[in-house]
Amino acid sequence: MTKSAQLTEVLLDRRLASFNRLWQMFMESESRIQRSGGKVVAKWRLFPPEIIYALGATPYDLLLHEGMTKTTTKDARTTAYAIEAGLSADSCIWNLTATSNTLSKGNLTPLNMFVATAGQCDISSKTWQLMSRDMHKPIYSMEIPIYDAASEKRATSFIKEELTSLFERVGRRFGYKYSETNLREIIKRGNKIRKLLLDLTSFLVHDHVPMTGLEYFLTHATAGDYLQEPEALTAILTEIRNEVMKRTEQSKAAPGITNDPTRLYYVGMAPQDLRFWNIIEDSGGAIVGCDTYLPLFHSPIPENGSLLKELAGWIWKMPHHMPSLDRAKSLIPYIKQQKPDAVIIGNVIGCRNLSSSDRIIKETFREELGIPVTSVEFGSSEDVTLLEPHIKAFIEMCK
Amino acid sequence: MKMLRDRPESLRLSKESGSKIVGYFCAYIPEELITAAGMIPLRLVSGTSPEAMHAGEQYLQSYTCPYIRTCIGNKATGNPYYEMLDAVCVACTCDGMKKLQEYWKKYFNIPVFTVGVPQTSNRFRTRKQAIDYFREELDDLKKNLEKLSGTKITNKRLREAVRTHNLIRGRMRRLYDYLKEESSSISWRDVFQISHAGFLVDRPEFLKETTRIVGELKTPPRDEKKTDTRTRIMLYGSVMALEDTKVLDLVERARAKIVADALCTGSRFWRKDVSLDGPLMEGLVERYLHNTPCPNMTDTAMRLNYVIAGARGSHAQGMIYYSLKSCDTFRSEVKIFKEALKKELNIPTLLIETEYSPADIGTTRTKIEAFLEMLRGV
Repeated sequence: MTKSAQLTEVLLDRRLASFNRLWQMFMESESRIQRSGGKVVAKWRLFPPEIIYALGATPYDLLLHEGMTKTTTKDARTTAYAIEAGLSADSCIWNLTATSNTLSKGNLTPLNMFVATAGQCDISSKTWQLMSRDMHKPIYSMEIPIYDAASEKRATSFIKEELTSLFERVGRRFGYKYSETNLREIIKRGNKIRKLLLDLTSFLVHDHVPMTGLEYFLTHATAGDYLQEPEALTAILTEIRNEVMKRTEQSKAAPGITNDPTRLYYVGMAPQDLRFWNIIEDSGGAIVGCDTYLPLFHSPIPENGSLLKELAGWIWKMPHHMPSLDRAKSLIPYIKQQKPDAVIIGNVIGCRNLSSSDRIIKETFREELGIPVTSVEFGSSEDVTLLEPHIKAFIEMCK
Repeated sequence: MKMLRDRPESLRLSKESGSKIVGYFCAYIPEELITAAGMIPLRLVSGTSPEAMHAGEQYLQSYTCPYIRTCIGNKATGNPYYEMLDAVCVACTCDGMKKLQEYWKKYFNIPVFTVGVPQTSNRFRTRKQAIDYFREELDDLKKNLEKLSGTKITNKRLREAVRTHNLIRGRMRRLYDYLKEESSSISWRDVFQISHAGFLVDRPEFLKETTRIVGELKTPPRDEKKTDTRTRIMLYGSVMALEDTKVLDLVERARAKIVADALCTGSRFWRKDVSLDGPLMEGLVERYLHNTPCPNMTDTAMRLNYVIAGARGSHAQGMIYYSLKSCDTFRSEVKIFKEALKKELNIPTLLIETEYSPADIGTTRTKIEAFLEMLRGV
């Protein structure tokens, strides 16, 4: 574990031996990219990492690794650098802290390029531009047009051209020639991770929930960049799967999860403070699924046919990219599969994207799932433990 | 302004006689298509009432853009313009606009035509895929409008509509040019109100009226010039509604005047004509995709050049950068503009980040007065 990123006040399931290795790997992402010596590309959290691997570069899920400042003891001036660079203090806190952390490193950053996704989250797109400008690092914007079922053909054709252009331009800059064979292999490797994450998710269906919310959240968040080492991640995830499967076979719940907990599915933006996941279990609940990174592994990327066309179609249908109603409906089968008793929607104050869908998502879930739904909001200054009475009351009501 | 006051009643009469009314919010919708389909276009940027804002918060969180909240709240509270609509067109530009169309589709029972707008296109580094995509989005809009109106948008009808709208843009540009004069006989407040009238009133009537106003405006004789010693300010930033005069009022009370703007409800809206040479739909694509872009688009340089040229041409002594709270796209570029204006023209920039509510009027006044004092060297 690096000195600059240590865990504070969070309860981990120490009995899940393989997870402890994953956590170590997770926390060393920053030092890993510093050591890598290769090209490192800062990506938005739901940008498929395969694209960056196919450019011969290493992806870095900037929001995740640089934004989780509330739980780790990173040496950060919280949001000061981001505000100095031009962001409003009331912007999404994930972007504020990640930007601030990144800018605070100045020339010491190991990042070589920013890949922004235009059309998915304005503030992320803008912060990527700001960081690129301030740090004198190149930026490439890849655009994903708005989801509308009637415009599928032109939208996927647009994305395919964007992918082609990205491979050409960035490949030229990195001195790397795009090859479909290489991309296919990278997609296959990524699909193995997707399958492992889906397997792990399926174990949460059991009555004795074998993984705590914190472990599940952190595990599924590795879909963002495969922690820069897809093979190593695959090996660890396989071990975690085996350990969790064993628990399931023995009808053992993860430590800290009560008998007959209220089964909760989590939808939306994640809190920066990981203690939130502990609070759920302390209040008598258990997380049985989470959609924060689900769009990256909800289904495998097609490995056959015209690869860029298939990849474009897969990107376009990622659930988070859809309008709120379509997104809610596309999530329902995944939620139902996990047999939850209730749903918690997480919103981040200052998020104008996913969090602005709250009312539509909530109403659609209530109508179509027929189970209780509540929303929680994570702000920049509040202590996440202040949400405990809300979570407790909600879980009590569900019982 | 009489035309504007009478507009709800005249719209009601038009509707009774069978006309259809189509609203839109963002400047990326080509209103020529609505006109060519024989319908009445309304650009909906009026109304900043607290009731509408409050009603909008029943749908969207309080940390969403106040303009977007108002665009929902106005419909929910029965604003007369919104009540008369037969359909709305929404250009899916920023996150707010995307959410706006979702809420209108789910909660308000009228057709919503969405138009996807590529954000990465740039006139000098055009991505063909962006042009193709936008062209097809406009083709779909055209078909939807034809279906709603029952009128085919023929080449002849579209040409006529484009011609009218080009003439209006030309007149409005003339008005903005007058503002640059040392002692203009028209104020920015007047031009701003005329601009908003142009979003709502009957377009041929508006053309006649702006033609008359332009004809009446005379350049003052040489000896009358340079009598106006008020501090000259350029205004740039988020969408500014007709009733949102907080900044303007404070600037005027502090003995300064606005001499230019680069607002999407101001000069940027009237910039650049649609080419009548060549296929008209391609002309629309070119004009709407490559007009000076909103900050939602990635092309900061073109935006910056427009603002610098506006400040230089109007001899502005300072710039007010107006950012609606929660408008991330504008807010995040303030530093870039501040530095560029200082470097290129040696003029300072003041950021005003505000809501429609009058709650921050005191602090805003203090900021503006201090900024103007600094400009005057007091």
